[in-house]
Amino acid sequence: MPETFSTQLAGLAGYADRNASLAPAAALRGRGNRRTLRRRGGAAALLGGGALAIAISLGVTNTGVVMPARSTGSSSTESVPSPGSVQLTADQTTVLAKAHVTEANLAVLKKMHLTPLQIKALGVAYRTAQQIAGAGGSDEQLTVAQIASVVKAKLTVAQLAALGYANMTVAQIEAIAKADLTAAQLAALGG
Amino acid sequence: MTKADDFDIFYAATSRRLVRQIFAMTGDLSEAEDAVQEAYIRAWRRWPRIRNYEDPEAWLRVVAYRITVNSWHKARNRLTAHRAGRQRELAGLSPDLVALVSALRKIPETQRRAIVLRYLAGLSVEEIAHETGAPIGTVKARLARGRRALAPLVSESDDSPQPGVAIAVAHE
Repeated sequence: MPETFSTQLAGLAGYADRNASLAPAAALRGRGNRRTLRRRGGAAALLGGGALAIAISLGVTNTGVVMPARSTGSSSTESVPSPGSVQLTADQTTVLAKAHVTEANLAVLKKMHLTPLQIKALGVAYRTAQQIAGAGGSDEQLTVAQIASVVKAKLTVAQLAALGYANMTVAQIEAIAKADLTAAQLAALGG
Repeated sequence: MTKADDFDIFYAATSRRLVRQIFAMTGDLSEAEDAVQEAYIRAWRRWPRIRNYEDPEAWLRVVAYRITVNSWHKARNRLTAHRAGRQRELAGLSPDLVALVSALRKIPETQRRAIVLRYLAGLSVEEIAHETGAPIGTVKARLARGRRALAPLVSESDDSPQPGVAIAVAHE
């Protein structure tokens, strides 16, 4: 009986082979790319002013996200080629567009499978770092190791905001994460 | 090799096979084509991840199958047009294959899927269980019931095409 089923089903398969008409792979890739651009365009519509221009440039590059560089001195709309990196969702793109991420850091970020919450936390961290750097006249950026440690430690937005993160070392971040401190305790530490 | 080249090679190697399998599950070739192509579009958008899966083809088959099932649900209010389309398609099949398509449609969707995965895709019971998310015992039961339900129609059309079978299908 199994042979009968296989033989009969093979007949159906033969019919499909003779009559099926499939689009070329390139056409399907094109449809997929256009769909991605449309969705990114939708995310861009949520942003305003300069952020809107940034997000539009993201859709065109098809490489994920492009952020204005603060200290590299390069063009603010330059793309970051990252073949093989993860595709960010519209939510992630929106959050990142509001954060201050350098191109160097972004290349690393895109290789990580970040959740929207983690990216939001990073956005807070960057803004905090920017405020601190601005007050001191420094143009220091977060290092890749610091980014990785934030992601690994899974600190919440509230924890990061309270932390005043910028001057913490990787070891300190990890130690704080292990200690499971409250936002109030972290604020006291940061102060 | 670029990402696009990699995808194109995979598409060329697997797409027709998937159309065959989805067609056998749905009995509707145009629906199978649409579902398979849509599955590949989705695969391309996640290709860096999917290309590293142990069995990307299985992922595509599951996605294509779910697309067809979803389309069935959406098409409930368009059932007449749906059936009309199926009848047109059956016109191009030989009587014994029409009988087989009809017999497959008469068994539950879960049994049909198991039968196609086993006897057309050549998956083991364990692989079917993994792909469908059902326990092995359930898969065995589906296969047994599906075989039992199909046996009379398949064996009749296997020995000598029965006009009665084709007529019954035409009136379905």
